[in-house]
Amino acid sequence: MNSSERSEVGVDTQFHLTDTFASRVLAYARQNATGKTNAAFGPATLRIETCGMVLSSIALDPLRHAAATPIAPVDFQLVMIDGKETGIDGPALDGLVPVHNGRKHRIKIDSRRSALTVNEEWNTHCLIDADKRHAIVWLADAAKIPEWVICDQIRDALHWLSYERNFGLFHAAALRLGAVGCLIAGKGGSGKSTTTAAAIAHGFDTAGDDIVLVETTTVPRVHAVFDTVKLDDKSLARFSQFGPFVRNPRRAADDKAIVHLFDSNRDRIVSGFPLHVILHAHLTGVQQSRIVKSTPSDAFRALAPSSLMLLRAQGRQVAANCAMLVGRLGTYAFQIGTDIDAAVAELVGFMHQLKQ
Amino acid sequence: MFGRDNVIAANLPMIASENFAGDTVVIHFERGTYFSLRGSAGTIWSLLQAPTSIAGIVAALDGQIQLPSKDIEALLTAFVAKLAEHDLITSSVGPAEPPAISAEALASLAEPPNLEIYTDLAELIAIDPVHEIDFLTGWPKAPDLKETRSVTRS
Repeated sequence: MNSSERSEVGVDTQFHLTDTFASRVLAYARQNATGKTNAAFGPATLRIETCGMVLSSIALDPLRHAAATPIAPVDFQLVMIDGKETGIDGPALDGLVPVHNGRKHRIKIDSRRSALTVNEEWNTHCLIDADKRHAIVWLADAAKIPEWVICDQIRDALHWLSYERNFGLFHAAALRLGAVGCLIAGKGGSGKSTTTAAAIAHGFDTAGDDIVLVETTTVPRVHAVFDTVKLDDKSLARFSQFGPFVRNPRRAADDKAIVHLFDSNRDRIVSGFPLHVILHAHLTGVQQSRIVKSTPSDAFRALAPSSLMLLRAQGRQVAANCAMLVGRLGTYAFQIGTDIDAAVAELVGFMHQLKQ
Repeated sequence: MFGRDNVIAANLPMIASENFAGDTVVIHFERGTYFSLRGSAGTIWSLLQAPTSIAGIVAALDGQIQLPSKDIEALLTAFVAKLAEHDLITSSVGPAEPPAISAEALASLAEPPNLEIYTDLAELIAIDPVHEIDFLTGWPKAPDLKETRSVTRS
């Protein structure tokens, strides 16, 4: 989660800096990309090219479930380049005119629909060109950047694309049992990831444990963006079947273990299933779990602010999408207790009831 | 603090609000706070979606509900002050329109305005606030150059 990300802004009114940079990176990627994929996320297909071995693994491994044929029509191209590994510098920023106090982070460049975001904390630059339908992400050193910062670039590209399409990204887990699909909303630490891991172990399918793409059509359908499940040490010990697939065994003490479901449970990561209910989760601290009817406004409060916090742009559209979703789905509170097996048993019983 | 004749309106560039059958949820993009408006709060909020004034609302309500005008004005003044404290309303340059008030809205005014404040994500959002891009123009918006230059100068 990009909770500590901070960005800076500037304007290149003549496009010289950004056009030169874009041309250079695109030419380099054509010849030297170390990874390429066409990734289909339901109604949106991205062409992603990566330059740098570390970057390619981190960026593309979570997308293997979404691999589309190389000839699939592409909505948007995303090129990601590791500055250290390729020797390519980021765009020179000293020619940019700062436009604000450092808090708003999209710049606007003349009549072109183009913008540059600079993440100061992790030294990444992202140039979006909506007219040319590409984004270029430059990272100073992919090996020193957390995995989530790299994945955020892909998520952001999908979010930009959603502005003009009938889908939205949501901060939620998505689970399916039989023909019944549910979203589990809640801010970080509300139990989404642990519940997802436990549910997979109990036979559920999932479209993700943190960020999902939902078609905002009459029947909302959910699509997986990343195949990642993140587990704290306690959950990893509890669900030992994930142990052999942990990608970051030498992680920092406060980092979660990363597991790609494509490695551990390939048949469980699924896309395109219809949603019926949204559960807003919170940890109660007592043993038993309960699922009780709630109101759309309760669900909206769980879904919208945390989705906004992740996506950071186009706030009114994100809020409207969340309102639409809670208006179309049944809304319930999932009071998750300390006994995770009992929590999943409660969820199984609830899903069976819905099916009937 | 807004006086009875000041023209005020919801601080639309900074917020999103959604109404769910009597429970209006408002999110402030820059501060990261969000709010539930219940009782008559949602109704008063709906009256502030277009430029108006406390005096205009009092005049529109006069004779339509049992409360005396001075009590209505005191209630509105106190509630508007709360909204202003949280940057949910702002002064407006538009003409103060007398608000249209439905029978359902009138009925809800019998309840006190309830503003519940949630700050659990405020610190995280305030680090890098949500920014808005013009919905019709798309992503990223082709900018208003005058606006960009004025921001640049500041």
